[in-house]
Amino acid sequence: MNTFLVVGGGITGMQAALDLSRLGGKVTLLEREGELGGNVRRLHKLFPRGESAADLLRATRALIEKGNIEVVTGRQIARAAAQPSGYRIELTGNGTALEVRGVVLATGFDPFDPAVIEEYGYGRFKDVLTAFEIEEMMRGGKVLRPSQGTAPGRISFLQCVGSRDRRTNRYCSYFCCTYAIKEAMALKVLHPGAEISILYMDVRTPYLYENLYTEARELGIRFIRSRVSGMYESEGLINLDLENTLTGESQILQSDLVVLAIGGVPSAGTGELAAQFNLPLSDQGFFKIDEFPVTTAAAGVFVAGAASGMKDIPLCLAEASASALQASAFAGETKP
Amino acid sequence: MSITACYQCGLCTGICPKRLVTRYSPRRDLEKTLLAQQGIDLWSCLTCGLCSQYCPQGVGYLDFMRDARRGQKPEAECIAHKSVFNLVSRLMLTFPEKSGVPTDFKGERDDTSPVGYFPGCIDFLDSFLEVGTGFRPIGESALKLINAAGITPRVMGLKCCGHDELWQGNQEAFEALRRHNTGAIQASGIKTLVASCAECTRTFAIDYSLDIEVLHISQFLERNSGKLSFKGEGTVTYHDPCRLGRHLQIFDPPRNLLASVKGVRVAELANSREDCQCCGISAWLGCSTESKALLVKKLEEAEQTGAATLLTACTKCLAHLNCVLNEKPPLREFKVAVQDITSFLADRLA
Repeated sequence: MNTFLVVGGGITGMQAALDLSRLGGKVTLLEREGELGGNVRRLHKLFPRGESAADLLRATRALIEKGNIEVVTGRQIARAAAQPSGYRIELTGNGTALEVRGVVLATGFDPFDPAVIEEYGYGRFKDVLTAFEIEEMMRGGKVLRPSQGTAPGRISFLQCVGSRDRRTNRYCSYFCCTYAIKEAMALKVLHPGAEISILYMDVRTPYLYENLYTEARELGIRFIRSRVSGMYESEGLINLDLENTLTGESQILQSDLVVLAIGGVPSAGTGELAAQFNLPLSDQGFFKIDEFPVTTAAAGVFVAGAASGMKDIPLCLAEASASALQASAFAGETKP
Repeated sequence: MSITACYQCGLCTGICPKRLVTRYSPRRDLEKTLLAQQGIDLWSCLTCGLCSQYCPQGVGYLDFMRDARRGQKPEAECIAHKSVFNLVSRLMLTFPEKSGVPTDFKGERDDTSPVGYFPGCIDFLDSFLEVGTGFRPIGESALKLINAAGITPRVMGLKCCGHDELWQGNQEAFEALRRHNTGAIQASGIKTLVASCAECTRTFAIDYSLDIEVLHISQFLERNSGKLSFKGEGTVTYHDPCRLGRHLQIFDPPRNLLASVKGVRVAELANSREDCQCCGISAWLGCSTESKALLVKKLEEAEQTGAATLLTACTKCLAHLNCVLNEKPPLREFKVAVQDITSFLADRLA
């Protein structure tokens, strides 16, 4: 039986491990944190169908328990040595060593830290939150203004925070438009009277996510084409300076809750892992794909999900399955 | 980046200081230019560089504006002081051998020194402006400071650097001034050119192609500060001129010099360094109630620091801000004076 290592126990790594096991492999799923789940643990409901993130993780974990998968948490790779038949991997901590035929890197992304964009006031103004923090509030069932504990009446989403900006990251983070629309619609349910605006440069809701965009417009969520140039607090409100580029009017948009639709960056440690497997990185710092969609320049090493660039969950899952198939084929387990 | 990279997000217009007081929209003018449409506003831009600094695509709006103005001519009423300063620079071209800026400042000088100091147009500002401040002291102060640092420079009687002609679109006049000055600088054999004016510094450093070092006096003094010692009192604040700050990224030398003045406290403006707001006018274009509003805003920002003196390193900022302070009848009582950093430092040599 062929052995595989999946690095990263987020939703992508879990799916890759599951598929490798289904294809007949013996899999070690390595997660550096104390439990599986990754970024999805922070989410409330998932687009486009609105299923619960907690339910998805629970169901996937249950399947993993039934598969031929050893889950190792709290450890990372200390050393990786290429061998004729695969890789010899040493783990941190107790010095466990594994011999594997193939490796899937599914190390995901880290949410962009908006504190580096000073003009957005994250960390300075209590009522400026990231979309991930809104998700966590939604999991608790309540989204209130942190400054006062009251219901927000005017909510503004800022798009492309840490994306499409040479000062931070040039790439589009792919999922922010759709998740912002999803969150805006959920907030409309929680606070039906709230005036919700999405401040966008271009709305990118590929394929049928377009339906969400239309639904959001029908719900009365406002879309203002702009890129906020400054933010200040006055009388308990956050004032957003912007030009509505479609009317050409300057505007100060008063908001009592500002949601930063942050993108993602390569997860911490991506560079070290790349060095361990002698893999190149893309200009953006993610793992570089040699052959679309999951094959790298290193024989037997595959990358799935956001570790090779920002993606949404359905794409991550598709790549997880693709990487499992490619790794199995590489190992001679199955023919693609 | 070229303007074709613009994706019309509008951040530039949102952040534009001119937009606070007019309908000027850099974003709209970029779009019109990309679509080859007529009617862009060539003369409202302060060329302060704030938009480019924050542009997510890194569009070089300054270069765009400079190039778009090339060969264009602003309406006569658009240029302040009846274009007298254009006349001055063009007269210098009309009488190439006999004209140059006056250089008769008191101080030690050596016409073989590798260091050349250029005082800029300060004497002409004195001739034609009545704004309640003198400009010649800047040149005298500069020489005094350079001497105090232990260096004997030569004083360069160049012609106007051409900054205003360049930004008013008169490429021909600018090129003629540049040719003349470049020849004179090369013939002089100096290795370092020091200017006390932010505009001259930017123009020599960026818009000429000199193969010698160009330094603002704050950089030169910081580098040669061994023998300099200053003493004073009170609180001052410092305004980064666009040309020195965002254009040339010279933020620390003036601050380091001020920090070395014993007894003087330096308070920062709310918007300082990279975020410093333009005084409100550049290249004598568009002196108006709108620009005055920006000047007043700047003075108010200075007042809020609690400083008694707002220092700057640009003769134009100095002129414009003092003009508002000395308006007759007074706009209101301002609690702040505006002085050039060179004069301020020379007066506080210990």
